[in-house]
Amino acid sequence: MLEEEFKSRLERIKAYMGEEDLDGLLAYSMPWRKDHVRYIAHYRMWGGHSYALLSKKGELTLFITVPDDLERAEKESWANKVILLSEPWIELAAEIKRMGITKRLGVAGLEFCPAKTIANIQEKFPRLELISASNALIGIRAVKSEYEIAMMKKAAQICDLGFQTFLEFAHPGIREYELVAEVERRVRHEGAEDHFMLIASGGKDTMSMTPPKDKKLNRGELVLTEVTPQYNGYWTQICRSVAMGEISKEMQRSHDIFLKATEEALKIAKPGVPITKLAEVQNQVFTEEGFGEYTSLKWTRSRGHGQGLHLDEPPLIAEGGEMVLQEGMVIIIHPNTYLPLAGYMVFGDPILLTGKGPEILTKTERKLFCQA
Amino acid sequence: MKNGLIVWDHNEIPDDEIRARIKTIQKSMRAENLDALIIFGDVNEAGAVSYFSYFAPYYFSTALILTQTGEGIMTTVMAQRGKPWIQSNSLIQDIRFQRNYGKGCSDVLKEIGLSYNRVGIVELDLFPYTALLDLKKEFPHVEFIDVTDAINELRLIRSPVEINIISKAAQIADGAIEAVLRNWYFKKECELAGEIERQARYRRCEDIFVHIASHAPGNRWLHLPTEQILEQEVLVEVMVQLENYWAVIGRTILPHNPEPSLLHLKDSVEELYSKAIKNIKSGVIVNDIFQGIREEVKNDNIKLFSSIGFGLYVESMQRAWITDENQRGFNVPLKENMEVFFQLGLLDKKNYNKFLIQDTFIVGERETGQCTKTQFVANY
Repeated sequence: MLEEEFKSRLERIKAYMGEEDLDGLLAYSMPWRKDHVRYIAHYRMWGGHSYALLSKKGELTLFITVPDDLERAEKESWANKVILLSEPWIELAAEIKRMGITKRLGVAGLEFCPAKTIANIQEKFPRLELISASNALIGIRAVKSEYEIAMMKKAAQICDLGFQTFLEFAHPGIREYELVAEVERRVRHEGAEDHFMLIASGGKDTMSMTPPKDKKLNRGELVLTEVTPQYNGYWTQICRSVAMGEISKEMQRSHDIFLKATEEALKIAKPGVPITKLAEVQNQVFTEEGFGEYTSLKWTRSRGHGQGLHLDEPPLIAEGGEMVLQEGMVIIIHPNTYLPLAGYMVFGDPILLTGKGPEILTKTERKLFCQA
Repeated sequence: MKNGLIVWDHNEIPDDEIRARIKTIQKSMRAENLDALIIFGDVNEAGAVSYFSYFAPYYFSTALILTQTGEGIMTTVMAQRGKPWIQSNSLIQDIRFQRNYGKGCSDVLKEIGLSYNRVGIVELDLFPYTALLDLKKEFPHVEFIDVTDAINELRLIRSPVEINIISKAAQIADGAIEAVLRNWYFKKECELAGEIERQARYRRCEDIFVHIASHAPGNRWLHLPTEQILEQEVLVEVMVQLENYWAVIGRTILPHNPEPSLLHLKDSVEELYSKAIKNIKSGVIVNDIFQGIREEVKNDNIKLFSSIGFGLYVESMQRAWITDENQRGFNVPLKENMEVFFQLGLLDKKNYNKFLIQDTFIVGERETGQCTKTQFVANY
């Protein structure tokens, strides 16, 4: 399956390179953005920096910076060759020259690629035009293959189990960082290779989520979380809120708005629908309930986003978003925002867009939870 | 991932400690006629920003901009809603929020005004390409100078306050490893990693990396944990961050009835390690430590892994290292109060037996202190 997957990715990337008249594509990754290199070279990066250089002919070289990982990289990656970098600009330049890349080089990750690497490539090859290939590669990645969907479904299962543990340990008296530690153990236990988690607890003054604090959970508060495990490269996320002790009327009313907003988005989430519509219908619900102002950037970032090899990738579900939903995309719809009713609240699930409509990948009940 | 507790204990790290760091660098800025210093930090390298602010906004690209006086301005691509969180953890209270990193830096430079047209950048090698382009476009007459080495020199020598936290980070690493040894039920690498992380996070660590290798031909040396079944000896490397400071420990956990060949390898590593760490002292050149090790390992069937890290660039795993095929040494002398992570391991290429030891040290003039204390060998 992996061989077919590689061929399919290569074909799509080569087609893009042909359209843009690129004679090479360089992907850059670092620990927070492991996605570009992972997609092209199937390299599960450890740390440091990694680059994947693809020639027009399909020759692929992987560059890594962690020596201990060389043997594994050679074994697992799709690259024809793996080079351990000492000075990135020297070894990269040599390979660019060897592959005969002289006219146009697309760079995926150009925006966060270390300036020195790019400056030295430009110095060495003054006639080589560098263009950003970041959006193009993310566009290619947006529609998931059968293999990728299988990975994301497994990641979604881990989301459910992680939240189950969250619920199990979310009791008055436990500190936020202890609760996160329990979830962390569980998702790792289930095979997650990495995990991203935000949390908040408190009352109406809770404005957003952060990494865990020293704070203890108290009766009468809301505790919120995003559990985001990564399985075999692929991230999915679940967002839920839990009332400690009992659900107040304001908490319930607030949650009803979030639930209705996501239900409205799910009704129209079909291939062909502009992404802006998904945001508009959710914002409309908040407006109708008298909370329209809390859909602005002052209070929230978006109504959801894409997921895949990066945990927060396009399309961003926001009004004005230009992308159109396609079959095979995986997105999370989450209208997470502050409302004066009960403070910041979160709610959302990862969705696979099929020809028949949205398929919710997580199985956790879609409700406001309460923990005695 | 930074899923742990991020908190500034002002009793442990007094505000004045951070202010003194800023004043030291401001003195150098005046001497060098630098209008400003842009200190870059992101999730991959947050250390320099944290050093002068006590906080780096998580995974968001951030710059701490210092001028010749005052406490500096932080600009970050994080959403403005994060302001109270940053302010509660950082000495820096003037925080700007700008989604475009280059523009965030430009806006601050415009506001403070540039008299000498000289701006230092810390971590210029890592500075995002497009942000640097924006800066150069906005300030065509300004010279941007890489001052990373000068800052690193300052950061490498640890103060008593820093050494105290490093020791606590080391205790967390020890505690996490010892806890899993007391209660060994693990079948898979990911289960072992999950419990080590849990143990460390309960002990208030901010970030943690766990790398594992067990007796399987596929992944012979340390790697990110997988669902692979643990067999025979298990190598574990635990890197723990507490309040911006890191400690590292590496241990080999043996099965109850180890093969004689494994025991022989263990003896070899222990002997080599004991000799090598005697050289971790003030004035010794790092490459000389490696050279001594290399001379002792001259068996074609044995693969050598050895590295030295200094507590900087931990997130991006930059270390001086040697293996059989490669060597990248730091031609620098060790100095008193430097933090050193020293790793030494051997792999038998024939039967895949492996053994590793790694510890965190604080270099002393006469005697070097070992921060991580778990005994070298344990059995499961």
